[in-house]
Amino acid sequence: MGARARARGSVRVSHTPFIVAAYLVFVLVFAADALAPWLARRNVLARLHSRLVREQRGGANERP
Amino acid sequence: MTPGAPATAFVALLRRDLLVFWRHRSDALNPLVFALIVVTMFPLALGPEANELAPIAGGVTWVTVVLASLLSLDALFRSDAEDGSLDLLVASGQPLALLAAARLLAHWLGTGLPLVLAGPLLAALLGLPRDAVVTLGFALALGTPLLSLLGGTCAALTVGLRRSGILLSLLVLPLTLPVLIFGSGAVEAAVSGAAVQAPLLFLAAGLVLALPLAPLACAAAIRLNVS
Amino acid sequence: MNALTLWFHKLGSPPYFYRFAGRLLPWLYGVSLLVASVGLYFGLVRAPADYLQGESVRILYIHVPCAWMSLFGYLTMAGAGFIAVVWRIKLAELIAMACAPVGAAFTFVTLVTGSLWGRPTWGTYWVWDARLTSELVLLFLYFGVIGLYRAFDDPRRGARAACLLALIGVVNLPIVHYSVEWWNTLHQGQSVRLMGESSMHSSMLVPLLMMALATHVYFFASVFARARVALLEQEGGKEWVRELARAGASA
Repeated sequence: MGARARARGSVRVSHTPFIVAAYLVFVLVFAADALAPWLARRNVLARLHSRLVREQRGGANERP
Repeated sequence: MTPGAPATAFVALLRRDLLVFWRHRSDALNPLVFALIVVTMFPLALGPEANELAPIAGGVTWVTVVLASLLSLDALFRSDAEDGSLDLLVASGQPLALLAAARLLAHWLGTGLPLVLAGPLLAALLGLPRDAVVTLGFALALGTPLLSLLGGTCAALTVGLRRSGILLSLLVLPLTLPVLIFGSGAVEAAVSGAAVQAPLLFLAAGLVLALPLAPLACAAAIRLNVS
Repeated sequence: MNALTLWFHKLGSPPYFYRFAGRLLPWLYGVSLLVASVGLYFGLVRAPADYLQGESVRILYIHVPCAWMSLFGYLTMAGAGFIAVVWRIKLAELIAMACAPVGAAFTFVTLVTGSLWGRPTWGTYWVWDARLTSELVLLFLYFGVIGLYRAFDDPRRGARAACLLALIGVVNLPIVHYSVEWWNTLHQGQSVRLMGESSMHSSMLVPLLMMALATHVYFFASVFARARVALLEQEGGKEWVRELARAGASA
C-alpha cells in the first residue's frame, strides 16, 4: 500500500495525531467553559460573604 | 415647508449636518487622503509591476474604501451626544428613525460620495482596466451607502463609550463583508468578462433592505444610549 | 392565568430562576456527559472509518455538532436579545449575554477541528472554503457582541446594546453566509467539502445525532450556569443574595 501510494505521488499522513488533537481541543475548551462559571460563582459568593461580615462588624463599631 | 412636520425636521437636520461638514471640509478630506495613502502602500509593498498590481486593483480599492469610510464614523454622533443635542433630537417628538436617516445620509454625502468619485481613479492608478473601472464606480455607488447605513448604526451603538474607536471598527467590519464580497466580485466579473449584473443586483437588494431597517436600528441604538 | 403562564412569569424573578436553574444544572451536565460518552463510543469505536477519508472522518462527530451549535447559539442569543430589547426583561438580557461566550466557544472549536480535519484530508491547515470562512465571520460577530457588552459601565445598558447588535448580526448572518458561498463558487477554489455529498450510513448518523443532542443540552447547562453568576453579580445588594452569601461561600 505504501509503495503504491508513493508511486502515485501521494503519501498518507497518519491521521491519529490530528484526531487526538481535535478531541483534545474539544474536551479542554468545554472543560474550561464548564469550570469558568462555577469558579466565578464561588468567587462572587465569597466576596459578598466577606463584604457582609465587614458590614456587620462595621455596623457594630458605629453604635454609640 | 410646514413647521413641525417630519419632512421639515429631516431637511433641517440634513442641512445642519451638511453645513457642519462644510465648515470642517478639510476634515472631510481625511478619508480621501487615507484612501490615497493606503492605495500607494500596495505598490510600495508589492513592487511596481503593472501586471502584478492590475489583478488585485479592484480588491485593494474596495478594502481601502471600506477602511476609509470607517474613519469618520466614530465622530458621527459623538459631538451631539456630548453637548446634549442628541437628547433634544430624541425628545423632539419627530420620528427618530427619520432623523437618524438624515444623519446617515449626511455621512454618505460627506464621506461615501467622495469615495465613489475617487475610488475609480485610485483603481485606475493601480492599473484596473477601463470597463472594470466603470463597474467599480457603479458598485461603489451602491455599496458606500450600505457602508454608511451599517457603520452609522454601529456608531450609534457605541456613542456613549469612551475610546470606542477600535471597538467600533471591530463591530462594523464583519457586517460590511458582504458589501466587500459583492462589490469586488462585480469588479472581478467585469475584468474577466463575466456578467456583472448578479453582484450589482445583490448590492442593490442589500441597499433596498438596509434603507428602511438601518435607520430604525440606528434610532433604537440612539434611544438606548440616551435614556 | 393558567399554570404555564404563571410559571413563566415566576421564571423571570431572579431568585426563582436562580434556584430553578441551580436544581436543573447537575441534570443538564449529567445528561450531556452521558449522551456524549455513549455517542463518542459509537462514533470512535463502533462506527467504520470512511472509504475515502480514513480515520480522520471521526472528527466529524465533534466538528459538525459544534458547527450546528455555533449557529444555534447565535440564534438563541438573538431570540433572547429580542425579548431583552423589546420588553427590557432583565433575565432575557442575562441569558442573551450568557449565550455569547458559549456560542463563541463552539465556533472556535468548529474552526480548530475543521482545520485539524483539513490537514490530513486536504494537506493544509486552512483553506478559505465557504463554510470555514463563514464560521470565522461568525466568530467575529460573537466577539463584537461580547466586546460591546463589556465596554459599557452599566451592565444593563451594555446588555441591551449588545442584544441590539446581535439582532443586527442575525439579520446579516444569512446574507454573510450566502455571500461567502457565492464568493467561493466564483473563485472556483475548493469544491471539496469536508463532508461528502454521500448520504450518511446509520452507524455514523446515530453517534452524530447523539453528539448533537449532547451539545445542545450542554449549551443550556453552560448558559444557565453563566446566567446564575451574572444574576448574583448584578443583584448583589438584594436580600435574597445576601441570604445566600450569609449561608456561606459555597451555597
